[in-house]
Amino acid sequence: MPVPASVMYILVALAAGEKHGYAIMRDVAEVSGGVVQMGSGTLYGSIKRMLDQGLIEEADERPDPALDDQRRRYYRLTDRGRRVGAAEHDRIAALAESARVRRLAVFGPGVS
Amino acid sequence: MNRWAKHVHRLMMRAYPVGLRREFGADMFQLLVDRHRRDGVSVWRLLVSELGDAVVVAPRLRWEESLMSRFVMIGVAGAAALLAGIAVGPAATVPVVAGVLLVVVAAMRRSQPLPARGLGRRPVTLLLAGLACLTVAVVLGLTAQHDLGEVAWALFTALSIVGTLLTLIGGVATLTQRGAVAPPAT
Repeated sequence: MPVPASVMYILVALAAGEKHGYAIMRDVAEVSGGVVQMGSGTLYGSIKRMLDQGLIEEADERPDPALDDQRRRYYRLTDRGRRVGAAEHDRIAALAESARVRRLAVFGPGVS
Repeated sequence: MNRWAKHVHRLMMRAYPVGLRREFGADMFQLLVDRHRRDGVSVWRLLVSELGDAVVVAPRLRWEESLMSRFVMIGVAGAAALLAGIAVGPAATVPVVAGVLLVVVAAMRRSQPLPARGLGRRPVTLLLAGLACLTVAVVLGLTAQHDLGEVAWALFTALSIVGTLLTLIGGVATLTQRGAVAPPAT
């Protein structure tokens, strides 16, 4: 089953290491080239679902407690989250390859 | 963040399900503060953006949460029907089969605790109704001894099953409500 885009963005953001909510939101905006700006409802709604599904977990230790606010909650990928992310990557890559083979990427609308 | 912005945000948060508000309400507000302080986005622009997000996301989250609670209820009802069916005997094949099906359906879904609030006084009402049904069934059984007629037997069976179901559902929901401890909502 395809993973919702918001969930995949969060998986990608956390693949680089533990992050708190704001850092995840910034990373998603950066990875998407500014196209995706997650609101707090989208972000924490997805985080809640991912915690329930065991894709991510709350990190006990802060990456650098001296530099950051102790009240912030950090999240990290679980093994299951990493596997789901990898499977979704393969699915997207296969789809992109099919699009390339069928020249969708080359001869899209407005391209002669 | 000024006082008015906090107030508006708190009002907007009410659109979200209580579970999300309790667990992540403070984090959601902190996210807004961070975007305001670190990214320099104006408070009112942030609130408008949050409003748009709430309009799209909140109904879906509310639906998902109520669906999850429903599956917990289905599981409890199934287990109760199963137990009641076994207790009544071979005559209760239908409740047993229905109970097994309901438990399987509920188990196929990942459940979460019932919401601590939102059910109001319904669980206690269900519990009391269940106990009342069981009481009537017991009185009926004791009065008729072993000479239960066909109608009385059917009534006894129905009261036993319904009473057990309501008692279990109401009992579990009441205990869950009282036992739930969560951080305050923003």
